[in-house]
Amino acid sequence: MTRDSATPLRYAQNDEVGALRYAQNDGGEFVIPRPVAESLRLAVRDATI
Amino acid sequence: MNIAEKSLIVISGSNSGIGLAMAREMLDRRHAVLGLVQDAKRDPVQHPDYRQEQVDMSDPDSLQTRIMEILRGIDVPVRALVNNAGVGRMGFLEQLSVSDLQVVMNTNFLSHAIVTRAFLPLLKRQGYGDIVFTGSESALSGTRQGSVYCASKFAIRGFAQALREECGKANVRVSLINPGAARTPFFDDLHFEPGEGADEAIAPEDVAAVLAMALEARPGTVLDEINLSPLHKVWRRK
Repeated sequence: MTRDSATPLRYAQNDEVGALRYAQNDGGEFVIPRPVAESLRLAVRDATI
Repeated sequence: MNIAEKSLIVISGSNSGIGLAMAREMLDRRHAVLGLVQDAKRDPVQHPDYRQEQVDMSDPDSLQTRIMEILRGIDVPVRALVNNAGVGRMGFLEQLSVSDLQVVMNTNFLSHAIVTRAFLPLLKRQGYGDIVFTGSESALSGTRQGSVYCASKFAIRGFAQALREECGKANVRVSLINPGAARTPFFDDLHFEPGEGADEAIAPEDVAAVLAMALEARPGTVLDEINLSPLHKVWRRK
């Protein structure tokens, strides 16, 4: 799969409880829970590729 | 202390074999080490800058949650993630159970993908860091009685190559170390082992030295893949 043919990736947003959520190609999510995101000082800008 | 001295090296499989040698090498170089281990009761390191957490690398379903718990407890920069844990199940394919296939692929490949994915946002935020995989000579060519083991190591090699392309922009380097036969407890449960001569197996410390070299390379250079072999390749049946 080339980058051009890949499904466009939607990237992360902080939800209302502060978890960092990565939208995945299959409709699922990779979630970094809020306590972890806060502990690691992760913000939306850190979730880009 | 500078960052290199106080930052953390995370190593899976750090209480045995190559991982143990890596942990000791990193501690000697004044890093702190966090081990991710299958059996936390076993701690041969015994060092004030070392701690270990129990994780089941063969169970992808529980691993994600467990790694998040561990990440929450990390409060220093992560200098490197070393995905080293591995198992061997050798035999002709007809001799391997479905459970064998799953354990090998989960431990040697899928767990590393899951752990790496969990650490990646942190490493990218830092804007530096190394992800190192312990591959194998079995990542380079298939061998008799090594079908699933070779498959798992080929998988990690392809994974590392792709990840390297994905991480360069974030200044996160990805390296793969491919040891040949190493004199470790890896062979305890297998029906063969390296020859007894000093030049018939590499030492775990040899691999640890290569890890140090990869981490200490100039930041703009990545040691993408390094192969190690014993001078004389000799196998013997037990």
